[in-house]
Amino acid sequence: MGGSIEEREIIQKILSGQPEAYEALVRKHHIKMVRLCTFLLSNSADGEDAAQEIFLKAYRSLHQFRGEAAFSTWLHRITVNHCTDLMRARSRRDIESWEELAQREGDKLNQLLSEPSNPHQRLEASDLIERVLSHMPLKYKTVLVLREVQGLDYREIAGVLGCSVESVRAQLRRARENFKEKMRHFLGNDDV
Amino acid sequence: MTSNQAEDMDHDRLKEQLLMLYDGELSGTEAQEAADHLRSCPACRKEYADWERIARAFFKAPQVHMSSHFVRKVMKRIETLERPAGKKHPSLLRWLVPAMGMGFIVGIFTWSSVILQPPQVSIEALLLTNGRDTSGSQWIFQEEGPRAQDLLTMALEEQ
Repeated sequence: MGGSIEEREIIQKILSGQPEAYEALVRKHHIKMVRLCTFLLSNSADGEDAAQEIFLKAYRSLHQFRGEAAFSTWLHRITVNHCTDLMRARSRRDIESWEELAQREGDKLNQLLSEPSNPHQRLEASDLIERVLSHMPLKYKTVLVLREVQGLDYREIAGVLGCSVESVRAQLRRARENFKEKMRHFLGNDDV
Repeated sequence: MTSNQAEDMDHDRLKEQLLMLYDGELSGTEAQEAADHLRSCPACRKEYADWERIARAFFKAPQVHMSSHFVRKVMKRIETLERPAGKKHPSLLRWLVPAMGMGFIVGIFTWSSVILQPPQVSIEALLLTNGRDTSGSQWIFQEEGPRAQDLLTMALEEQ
């Protein structure tokens, strides 16, 4: 890991009184961070607002960045913490149960899983995808999103979550088992 | 340990390794061993393929809707953070706020002393009405030292 020389130089500039230098960091990381927020919050409308707050939070805390990990890892950590706080503050009263969702949207889920790579299918099902992800335990969703969406390796995930690589491996295994169990009914029994 | 138990343990280990293979965390002989197992075990192949389908459906090619002005919005907010109004005239603000507060308190005090003061009447006016209360309000004698007291005593004695 370790922050890149270029990023460390940018951070030095900002800390020495050139706030405009921060733009390069925002420009470099904003798409990944908006995507991470959108997945963690399971809500595309909230993703951008949350990402803005995160970039401001990171700017205010920049003096605490010690450069032991990459700036990207540090930013991921702030994002995960921020989204976790937002998710905990949200009321779950209005969320439909998994059984209701599976029953109501069974056909669409079957279709989505039969053609998982079809971009039109995914676009049409984007609301359904958000609703399905909102049923995942936050801990599992976080580790899966860091791996599957953000493409972080086990060591980077361990750095973001502040745990060991072994713990990341175990969490990923449990998260996948949990998701597969929910989807078992829609996956069929076709031999591969 | 029976040979079946040993096979199960080995299978569990390989199953675990398949996830690491999927995540690109294996290399060399470990990766080769896991890939060989994947080819020869239908159950593991199905598990592997199921997860690939789930991941492609729910986690790949995400549709992220975002404003094209995202970077500008963030930088605008940072610019605002960097120039708070208070920083430009700190000494002026340090004096202005307490002075305004003091002025407000003095104003309230003056206002209340004018509005809340009870009606007053002079001794002469009291004597003209022969000591009767004609206004219905509570009168207060204006203090004018011993002279006022003397006048009142004289008026009462005359009655």
